[in-house]
Amino acid sequence: MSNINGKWQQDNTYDAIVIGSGISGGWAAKELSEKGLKTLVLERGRMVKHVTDYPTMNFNPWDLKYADRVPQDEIDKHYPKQNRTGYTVRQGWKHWFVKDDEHPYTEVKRFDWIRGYHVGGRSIVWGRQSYRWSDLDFEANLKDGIAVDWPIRYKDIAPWYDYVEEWIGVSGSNEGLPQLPDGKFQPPMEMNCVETDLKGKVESKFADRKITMGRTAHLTEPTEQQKKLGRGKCQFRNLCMRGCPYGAYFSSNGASLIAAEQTGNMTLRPNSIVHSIIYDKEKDKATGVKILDAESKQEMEFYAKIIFVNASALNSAWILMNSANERFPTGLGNSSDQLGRNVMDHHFQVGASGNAEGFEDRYYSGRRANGIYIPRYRNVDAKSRQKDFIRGYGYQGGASREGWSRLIAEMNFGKGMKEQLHEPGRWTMGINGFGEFLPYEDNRITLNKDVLDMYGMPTLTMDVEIKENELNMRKDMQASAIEMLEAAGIKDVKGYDRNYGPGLGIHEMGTARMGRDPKTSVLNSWNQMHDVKNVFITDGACMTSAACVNPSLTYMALTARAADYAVSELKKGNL
Amino acid sequence: MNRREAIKRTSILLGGTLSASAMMGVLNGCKAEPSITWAPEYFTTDEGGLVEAIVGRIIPLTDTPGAIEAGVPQFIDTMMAGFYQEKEKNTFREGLKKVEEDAKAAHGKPFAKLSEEEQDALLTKLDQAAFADGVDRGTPDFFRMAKELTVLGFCTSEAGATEFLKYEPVPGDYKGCIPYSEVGAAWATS
Repeated sequence: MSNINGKWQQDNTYDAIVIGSGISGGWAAKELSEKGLKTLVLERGRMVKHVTDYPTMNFNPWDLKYADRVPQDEIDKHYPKQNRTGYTVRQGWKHWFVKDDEHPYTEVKRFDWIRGYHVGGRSIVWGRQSYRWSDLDFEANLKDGIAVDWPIRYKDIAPWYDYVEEWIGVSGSNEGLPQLPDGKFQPPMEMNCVETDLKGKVESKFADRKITMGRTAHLTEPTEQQKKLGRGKCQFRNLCMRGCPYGAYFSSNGASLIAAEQTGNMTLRPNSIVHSIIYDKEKDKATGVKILDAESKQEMEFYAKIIFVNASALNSAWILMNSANERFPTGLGNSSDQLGRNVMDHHFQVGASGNAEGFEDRYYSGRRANGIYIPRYRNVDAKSRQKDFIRGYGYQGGASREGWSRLIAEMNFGKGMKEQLHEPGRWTMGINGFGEFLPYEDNRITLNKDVLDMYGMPTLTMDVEIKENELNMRKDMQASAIEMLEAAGIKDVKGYDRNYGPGLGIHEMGTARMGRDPKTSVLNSWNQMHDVKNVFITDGACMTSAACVNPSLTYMALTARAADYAVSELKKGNL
Repeated sequence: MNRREAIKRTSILLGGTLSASAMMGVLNGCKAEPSITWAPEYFTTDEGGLVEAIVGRIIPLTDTPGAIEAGVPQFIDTMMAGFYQEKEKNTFREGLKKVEEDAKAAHGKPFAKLSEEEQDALLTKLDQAAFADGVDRGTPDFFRMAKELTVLGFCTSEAGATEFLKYEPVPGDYKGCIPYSEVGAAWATS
């Protein structure tokens, strides 16, 4: 990748600037540079080169210090918030997450802000589940009379979903469901015996339910185009979060930034912390971006005709707030006062699990970094209407056989325990709900000038909570999970509602929403700021509602669509 | 020195991973003074010998490697040296002391010099106290720590994962429903 080489000192003007190199920034970089724009990508964190900068990717279990565990004093010092997931702070991948002591934020209410500051951002560690939205989602706010209407419908984004799915590679199976549109999929991964059995039983007992294989951004049958980029088939190692040496799952580092690099039009500049967007009152446009170089500690300015803001939902809002000026005293393009409001996530950690009997002589081989998916079935039509909540949820889950860790807390030792250790344990089956989180204006983030980060910049204060609709939905998410597993013959079914806090889904959305009216939204139907026409925001900030499916695929599709529009407007002389 | 090197070095010193323990099995009941062939970072040599004796009974050598052959004592030493905080380290150290005291009180000999039957009888008492129904498992307990560390260290070791469990670094494919006999052991990683 073309690192900075001094060229900018002579000429710090580009056609486009992209702020952020995560899943949406990588796409903006690829699309804009492929369309011929000289594109500067600013990334606040360090360089991470595909494969060569994945230090633990090929480690065996015995190569990881402390058997992959991180000492409590290190967690307490550096990762008290990043560790709230229970899985992010491990020897194998803690280097993909920020140190909380270096990057503080303030919680009026608990908010789990799990981040990685480096080239590729969270695209290295994302969950890879990739689902399309439907008109059920795009029409929901209008029908329910809450927040504002989405300015687009499924037909507007469908061709971009096609384009993105084919390019990134998504494996999955088409089911013909109106609430979860079909896509352009590579062959689905296999279900195991217990999952197949569950599918048959649930689908026969509940006419409105489907169990499908998780749709995931892993290559199962790479295209020529993907092979040319150096990407290969998934090897079923289930070490994705360490970075994939096969380039088998989609990440910015392993795909979109490589494509952008190959155009010769992209300059990638790591260690470039964006301070603000420069606004010219006379031109009524943004003219560039002011950064702090994290290494030299120098402030610098870069200029461009268009700016794509892809710093992730909360940081994109932060940049706009920190760009306040005389014309926009509360934040660039914030005449609607919606900037930083309507923070959403997906609420989850609620569901059920139990034991499956009858497959003791069966096992599996390979480690599948994927599970089954049960698409939404609540509030999808008149018949499925719920009285206690609007919107709905889907379940992600899977079956597996217990491994050696089951014996740690059992009485027994010696030869007898060793014999048990040698054998796999029971089959367990669990499903975990992911529910829609409504947009509430008072769920907001604000700029905090009293708490500064290690660079002396203001930080964020989070004031976000789940409310009655989410709490009611969670009761049904648990009850329905128990009901389904029991009906399918799973034994010892236990429901759970673990300690969910907003942000824990790592699907932050909504802080600069799209809408039809500049008075009530920040962005128009093309992810373009109503107030400042040459600024586009295509990360989670743009989302007008949250739906119940994983959002990254939609960010990528919206980014490709916005880039296409921005370039055509630029060519027409409108920007 | 990382763990892998530690294990390798140990096996070089032993001249083959199984010899020392195999001999201990043969010489059951007439053991030499406990001595270890590795240099602990945290434990004293005596403690290291006691840890070996205990983990060797938790996961003994059979026709496959046991905890000692898999480098579990060194793993526990590494965890004590860098992973645990004072409170947990003290729990473990006090626990070792108690095992030694119990061995001397019951048999007048250090734990490592007891017969396997005598060792197992002492450990069974600890196991029952640690894992019986109604036991508060939230409080630190020596035997729970020892067992967790032994199972964890063993199953994530190269010997445990590859010579006892089944380990495939690059499976290449996923088959969701195959006869168990085609695998024949639990997978080391999930």
